Amino acid sequence: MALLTVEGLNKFYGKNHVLKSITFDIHPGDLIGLVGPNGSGKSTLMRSVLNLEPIKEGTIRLLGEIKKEDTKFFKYLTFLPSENHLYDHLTGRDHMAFIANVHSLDRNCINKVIDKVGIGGYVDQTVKSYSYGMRQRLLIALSILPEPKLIFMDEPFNGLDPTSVIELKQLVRELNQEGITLMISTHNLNILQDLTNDIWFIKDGALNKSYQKESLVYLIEIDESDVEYVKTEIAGSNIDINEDKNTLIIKDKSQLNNYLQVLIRKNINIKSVNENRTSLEQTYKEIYEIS
Amino acid sequence: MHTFKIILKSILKSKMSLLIPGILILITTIILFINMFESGQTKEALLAQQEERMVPLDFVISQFYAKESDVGLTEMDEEVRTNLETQFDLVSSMYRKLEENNMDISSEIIRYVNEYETYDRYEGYIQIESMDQLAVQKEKAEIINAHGIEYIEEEMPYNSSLFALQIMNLFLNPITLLFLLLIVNFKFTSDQRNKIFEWMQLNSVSKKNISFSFLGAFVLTTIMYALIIMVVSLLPMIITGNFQTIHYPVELFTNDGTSFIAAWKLLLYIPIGWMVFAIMILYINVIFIKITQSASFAFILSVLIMGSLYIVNYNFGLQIWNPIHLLINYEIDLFVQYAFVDFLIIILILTAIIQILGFFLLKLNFSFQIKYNNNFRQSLYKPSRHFKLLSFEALRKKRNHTLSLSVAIVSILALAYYFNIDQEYHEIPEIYHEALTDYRDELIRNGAAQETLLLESELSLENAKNSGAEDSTIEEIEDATNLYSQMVDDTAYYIDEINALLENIGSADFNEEYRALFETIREDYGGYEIADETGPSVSDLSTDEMNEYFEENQIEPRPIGDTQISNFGNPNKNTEFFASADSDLHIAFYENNRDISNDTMFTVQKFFQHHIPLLLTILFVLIIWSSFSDVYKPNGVYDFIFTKPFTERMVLFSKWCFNLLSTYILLLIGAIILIAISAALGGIGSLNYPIVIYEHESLYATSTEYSTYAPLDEVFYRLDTISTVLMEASVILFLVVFFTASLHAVIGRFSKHHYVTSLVTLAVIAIGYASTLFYTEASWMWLNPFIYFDVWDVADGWQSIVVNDPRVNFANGAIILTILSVVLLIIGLISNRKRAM
Repeated sequence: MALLTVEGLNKFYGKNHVLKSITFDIHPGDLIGLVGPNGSGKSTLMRSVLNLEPIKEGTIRLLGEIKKEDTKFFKYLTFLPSENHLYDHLTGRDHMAFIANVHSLDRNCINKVIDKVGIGGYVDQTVKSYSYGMRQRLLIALSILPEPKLIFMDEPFNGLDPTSVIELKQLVRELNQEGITLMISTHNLNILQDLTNDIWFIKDGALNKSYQKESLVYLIEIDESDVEYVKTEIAGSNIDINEDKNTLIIKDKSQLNNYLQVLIRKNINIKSVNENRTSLEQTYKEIYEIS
Repeated sequence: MHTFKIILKSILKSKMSLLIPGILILITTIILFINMFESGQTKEALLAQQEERMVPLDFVISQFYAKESDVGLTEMDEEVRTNLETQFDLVSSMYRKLEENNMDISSEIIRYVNEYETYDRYEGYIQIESMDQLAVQKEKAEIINAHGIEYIEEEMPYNSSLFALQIMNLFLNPITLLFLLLIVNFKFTSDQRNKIFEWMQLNSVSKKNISFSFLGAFVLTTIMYALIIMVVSLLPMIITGNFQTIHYPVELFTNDGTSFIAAWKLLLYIPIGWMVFAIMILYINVIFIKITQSASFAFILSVLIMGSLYIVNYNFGLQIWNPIHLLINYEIDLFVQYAFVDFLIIILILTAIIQILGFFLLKLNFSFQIKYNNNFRQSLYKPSRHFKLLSFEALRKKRNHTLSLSVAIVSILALAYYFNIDQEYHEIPEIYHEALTDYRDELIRNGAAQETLLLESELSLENAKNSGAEDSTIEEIEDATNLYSQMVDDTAYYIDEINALLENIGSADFNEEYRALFETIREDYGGYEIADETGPSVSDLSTDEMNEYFEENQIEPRPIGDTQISNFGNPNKNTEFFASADSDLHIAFYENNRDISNDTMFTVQKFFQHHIPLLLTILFVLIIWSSFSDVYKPNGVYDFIFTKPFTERMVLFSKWCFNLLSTYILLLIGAIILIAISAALGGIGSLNYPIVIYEHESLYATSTEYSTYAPLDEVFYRLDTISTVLMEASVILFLVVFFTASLHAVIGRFSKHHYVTSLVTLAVIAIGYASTLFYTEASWMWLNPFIYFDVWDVADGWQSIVVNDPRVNFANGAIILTILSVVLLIIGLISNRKRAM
C-alpha cells in the first residue's frame, strides 16, 4: 500500500495554473528527490500536499485513509521547511520539548535525537543566537523527533557548509535505511544524484518521473578500427555508438551479456566495460530544454 | 574601569536610554502646556477671598453710618470706622489688582492684617476675620514680600519653582524607584542570559570587578536620571526668569497648624533624598543578587525592605534612622526644625555602612544557590500534557520576559495605587483642618452680618421705644431683635465649638466629635446644600438610613463628615450639574464629606471606581496578549506551527485562552497584592458596608418595598452591601475582559501584524467608549457593549441614570457582553483566512 497518495492535485495562484493534475504515490522506504528551476512549483507542491496552501481540487491521503485536514496527518508526517523560522526567544530544547509533548513522546528521546543530529553544544541556547546552519540542524532534529513515517524536506541543503552537507546526506541515508520515507526538494543536482535514483522533475505544473534507476547504461570501449564494423554489422536498437570515444552504449542491462558474447565471437577487442548512469544534469537539460 | 565603562555604555546605548528621557520630556511638556492653559485657580481663590471680605466689611461699615445718622458716633467709633474703611480700601485694591492679573498683593495683605489687628484690639466690636487664619496669611505675605516676589499659581503652576516641585514629585518618588529596580534586575538577567558576565570572566575580569562595575554603572545612571529631572523641571522657571520663586513659601500642614517652608528646600531635598535612597537600595539589591544569584528574588527582597520601612513609618512616625523619609517627604517636622540636615547626615552614615558591608560581600566569591531559579540556565520547559498549546504559549511569553514584566508592572501599579490611597488617608487631619477653618471663617463672616443686623435692630428698638411707637411695632422689632440675638449666640457657639475641635485634631475621638458637630450644624443650618422645596435628595435620605445602619451593625462610617454624598452631589460624577450650576458651595460640601479610608474594602472599591482593572487590561493587550496575526505574519512560524497534529482552530483558540487566562491571573495578582497590603495597613473593613444602589425612576410606578424615592434627584435608591456590589462589578469586569479578548481575536484574524491588532483593538475600544459619551441617551445605548465598561457604575446602577435607560443594568450587561463575546469568538475562529506565503 502506498504511504502517501496524491490524486488530481490542481493549484491556482489567481488565474495561474501552477500545479496541473499532479498524481503520485509515495511508498514506504522511498527516497524521492524533487527537482525543478526556481518558481517551478516544488515548494508549492510540497506545501499543497501538507495543507499549508489551499488547493483547487485533489485528494491527498496518508496510509490510504488519513486526509490532509485530519490532525492525525501530522502524526506520521513531518516537514522541514525552506525558511527556517523558529521562535527566537525559545531554546532548541524548548522546541524539542514542545514537539515531544505534542506527540506524547518520552522526554528521553529528546537527548537521543540531540546526539544523533549533533546539536548538543547549543541546544540550550536561544534560537536567536543560532547561525543558519544551526537552525537547519535544529529543524532536522525537530522533523525526526516524532519518528515519522514520512519526512518532507524543502531545500534542506541550502545555506549549509560542505561539512554540514556531507553530514546531512549521511543522516538522510541513515534515516532512509531505518525505514523512513523521504521526499527532498533541492536545486543541487549533485547532492541528489548521490542520494537517490528516484528523482522527479516538475515542469509547467506537471511531474516528470522519467529519471529512474533504469537510467543506467553500460559502456563497452573497443578499438577505433573496429568501430565501423560494429556499427554496420552488430549495432541494434538497444545500442548506441559514440564514435568519438569508440564506445558502445548499451541501455538495456539484459542485453549486455549478449552483446559481449557477439563481440567476442567476432574477435572484437574489448578494451573495457563500464557502468555509467545517465547524468542527471543531462536529463535536466533535456527536460527543461537547455542547450 | 574598562568593565565599568563597557557596562555603562551598554546601558546608555540601549533603547531605554533614549526612551526614558524622551518620555520624561514629553510628559513634562504636556503637563506644562496643560498647566499653562488651565492655570488661574490661585488667582480665582484670592479674588474670592477678597470678595468674601468685602461683604461683611461693607455690612459693618454701613452699620456705623446708620448709627451716625441715628445717634452719632463716639470718638472710638470714628477711629474704628476709619480703620474699617482702610481695610476695605486695601481689600478693594487687592481685588482690582487681581482682576488685572497682578498678583503682587503681599504688601497689601500685610497692611490689611495689621489694620485688622488694630481693629481687633478695640473692645466690643464685631469680629469679621479669624486671627489665626490672618496670622498664617500674614506670615506667607511677609515671606513673599521679603524676597520681592509675587503670589504665584499654586494649583497649576508652569513657570515657577512650584512647577519644578510638581515634576520632581512625579518622577522622583517610590514608584519610579521601583521601576528603576525593575530595569536593573531586567538588565542583570538579560546580560546573564546572553553570557556577558561569562565573557567578561573569560577575559580575566574578576567577579568582584564585575559586581562593582555593574553597581557603579547603575549608580551613575541613577544620578544622571535625577539630574535630567532637575534640569527639565527647573528649565521653565529659569527661562522665564522666575528664579526668585525658589523662595516661595510652600504651605504644609502639621498637627500644630500650618507652616511654611521655602520651595528651594524641597527642590534640594527631593532629588537628593531620592538619589541617596536609590543608591542605597541599589547596593542592597546588587548584594541580594550576589547572594541569591537571582534577580527576581533580589527584586522581591528589595521591595519588601522598602515596604517594611514604610510600615515602620506608618506605625511609629518619623524615626531619624528610617531612610523612607528620604522618599516620603510629608514628614514636615524634618523641614520646619531644620532637622533634615541632621537626618541627611545620619542617612549618609547609614549608606556608608551599607556600602562598606556591601564592599566585603561583593568581594567574596561565595553564593548561596537558590534552586528554584538558576539564572545561568534557562529553567526547563515542562509542558502540560493536557494543555499543550496553552503551556507552549505561556512558555513563549515566559522566555521573552513578558510574563515576568507583566507581573512586575501589576505589582508595582497595585503598590502605587495603594500608596496613593494611603497618602490621602494620611492627609485627613489636613482635610479636617481646612474644612473646619473654612466653615469657621464662613461663620465669622455670617456672624458679622448677623451682629450688624442685631445692632441695627437694637437701635431701631431703642428709637421705637423713645419715639413712643405702637406696641405692635415695638413687639415686631423686639421679635426681630431676639431672633438676631439667637442667631448671633448660635453662631458664636459653633465658632467656639469649631475652635475647640481644631485644638483636638488627631485625638482618638476626633472623628466622632467632628461628625457630631456637623450633624448638629446640618440640622440647624441645612449644611451647604441649598434648600429645595421639591424634597430631600439621595444624599439626605441615604445619610439617615446609613447612620442607622452603622449604629445597628457597629460599622465605622467612612466619610470625614457626617453626610453620605451620593453621586448627584459628587462633582466627579455629576459633571453636568457641576459644570452649569453655581457649585462652589456644593464642591465644598463634597470636599468636607468625602469618603476617605485605607481599608481593603474601600481600596478595592476605589480600584474599580477609578477603572484601574480596565486600564490594566488595556495595558495587557499591548504587553502580553498573543494575537491570531502572530501565526500569519510574513516570516513567521506558520510552517512550524501548522505542520503539527492540531488544527488551525486549536492553535487560535489556545491563543485566545492564553489571553483570557493571563489577564484574569494578572488582575487577580494585582487584587491580591492590593488586598494584602491594604489589610496589613488599614484592616479589611466591613464586608457589609452599605453602598447606594441607584434605580431608574421608570422602573417603578410607585416606591417598592426595598427602594426609597428621592424627589429632588428623581430616582429610587436602595442600600446594598459592598461585597455584593464588588461581586457584580467583578462579574461585569470578567465579561468585559472576555469581550475584549474576542474582539482582539476577530481583529487578529484579519491583520498580519501583532501590534496592528493590539492598536486597532484599543482604537475600537476608544471609539466604542467615546460613543457612550457622545450619544449618552441614544435608545440603542443599552445594546452597546462599551457602556458596560464602567463596571462599578453598572453594578451600582448609576450608569442607568447617566444614560436615562433602566435597561443598562447588571443582568443585561452580562447577557449582552456574553453573547457578543461568543459571536465575535466564533467569527474569529471560523473565518477563512488566506494562508501565509
